[in-house]
Amino acid sequence: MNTRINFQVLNIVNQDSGALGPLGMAIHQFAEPGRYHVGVHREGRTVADTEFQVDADGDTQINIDLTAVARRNPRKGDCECKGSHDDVAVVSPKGYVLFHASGGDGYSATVAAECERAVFDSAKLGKGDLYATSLLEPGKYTVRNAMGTAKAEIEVTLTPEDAKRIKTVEPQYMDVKSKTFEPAAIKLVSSQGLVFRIKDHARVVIERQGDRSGRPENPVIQWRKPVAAKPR
Amino acid sequence: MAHLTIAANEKTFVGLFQALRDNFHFSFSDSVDFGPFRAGIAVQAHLEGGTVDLRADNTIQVKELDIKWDQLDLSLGIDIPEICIGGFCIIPIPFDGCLLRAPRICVFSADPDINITLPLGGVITSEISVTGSLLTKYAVNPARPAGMNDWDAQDSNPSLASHWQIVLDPQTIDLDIFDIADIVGDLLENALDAAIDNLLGFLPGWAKALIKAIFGPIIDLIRAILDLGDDIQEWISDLLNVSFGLLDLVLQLVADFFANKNPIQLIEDPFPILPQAPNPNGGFPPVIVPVKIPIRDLRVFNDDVEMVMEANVG
Repeated sequence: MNTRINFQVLNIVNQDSGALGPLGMAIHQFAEPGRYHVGVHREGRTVADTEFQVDADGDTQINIDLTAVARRNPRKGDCECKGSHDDVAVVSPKGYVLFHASGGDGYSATVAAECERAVFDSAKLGKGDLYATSLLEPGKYTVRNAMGTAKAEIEVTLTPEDAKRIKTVEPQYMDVKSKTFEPAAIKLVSSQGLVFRIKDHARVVIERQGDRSGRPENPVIQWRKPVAAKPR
Repeated sequence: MAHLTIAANEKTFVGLFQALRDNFHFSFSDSVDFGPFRAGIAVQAHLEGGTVDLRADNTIQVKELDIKWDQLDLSLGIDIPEICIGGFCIIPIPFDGCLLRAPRICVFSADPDINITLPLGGVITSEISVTGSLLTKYAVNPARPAGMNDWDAQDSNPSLASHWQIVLDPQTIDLDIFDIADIVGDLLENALDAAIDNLLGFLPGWAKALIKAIFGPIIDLIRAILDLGDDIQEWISDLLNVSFGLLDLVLQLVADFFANKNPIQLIEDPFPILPQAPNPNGGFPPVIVPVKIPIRDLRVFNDDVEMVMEANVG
């Protein structure tokens, strides 16, 4: 018997749109045709690069797996932006590029047009971008915009009734502004899709509140200093 | 007219039959690959009960002979699908599908499969009825050397004597289709649930609940894989009977047991009518060999009262 369990996914508690892991994804629409260069970063360090093309004949969606790029195209020296990657994915100007990381965490991507100005940074989402994720572990979470003051509450449940509809439940949406989330509170079923529609600059950070479910505290052995008897 | 006639009443005949019945033991194992799942069986059985009726038409009927399944283990190896999350639609197109979809992330898979064993011995009952007639056969011991005389053959250890055999030659054997108790559905569901729990043993409770929820109700998923339909009992019955041919095998073994392998009665030939004895006159030889008479033309028949054997001697 060879059982494979993705423990990393099941152990994800907090999420950050600026440091992507297996559950989160940042989405941007590149409206100008042309060739684009993607810098893949992990925990602030550039680790790889890749390219894609925007063309009217392109697909409506391309996915760029930052983990796979880092494994396949590790950066060894300075980037040669032109002609360094063949067989690039092609997306339509009306389509979307979805950046995600199938393994590991702390990933982000910066995109430059023809090795020139940066047009997208997944660590600083802008108006029109999307950040989508799922929360698995039941419990209460806070979500905040690290580039503003907005805060909201998320509650994740997995009751027997939730379990019955888990395959059919639709994703829910939150609008992210500098000072507010709309709605300010949301309830999700475990693994339900959650899509943040970015209205201002944003970095969405989700943090779990309280103790983790089903995890007993580590046992502690304690010694206490004996209380000395008071002299008469 | 026969030289010798021996009769055994019905009660005596029943005693002979019961001794024969108690000698029957059966074991069998097999496996079949159905693609999405594999099935195997391990079977051990014996016979119990039964009523014996000597009939006036020279036949014998044995009714309600129970097959007792000492072991009837049905093993199922099932390929379960990978469990993935994600894949939801991020930007839907009203009435027209999805413009942007999240990638799927797989959280659980098991290779090759989950294995469960259903102990069905206590939940399946089977009954046999046999109608046959008595036959005689003459059996020369294949181990007996050519030219060996009858006394030496008898004295050999084991005996190499030839025998007349009286066998029950089955004409029809009826075996009831498996009667499977209702609880087999619960057995299957509990076994599958336990197997899944075992696979997920290290995970916290919420993660197990999530994976099981994505599975859907376990029995529904497994029903789909096994093509189980609504009637689990019928499915198991078909699996045992058609796919494994268990009932046909049992019928064949029972027929062979009675007709070829296990006579109701053995009669040594020549038949010793006086045992070996010391020489009453003293002297040589010190021992007188057994007195034997050859049996010829042995015939057996029955009516509704007794079994009768007739033979000629000499």
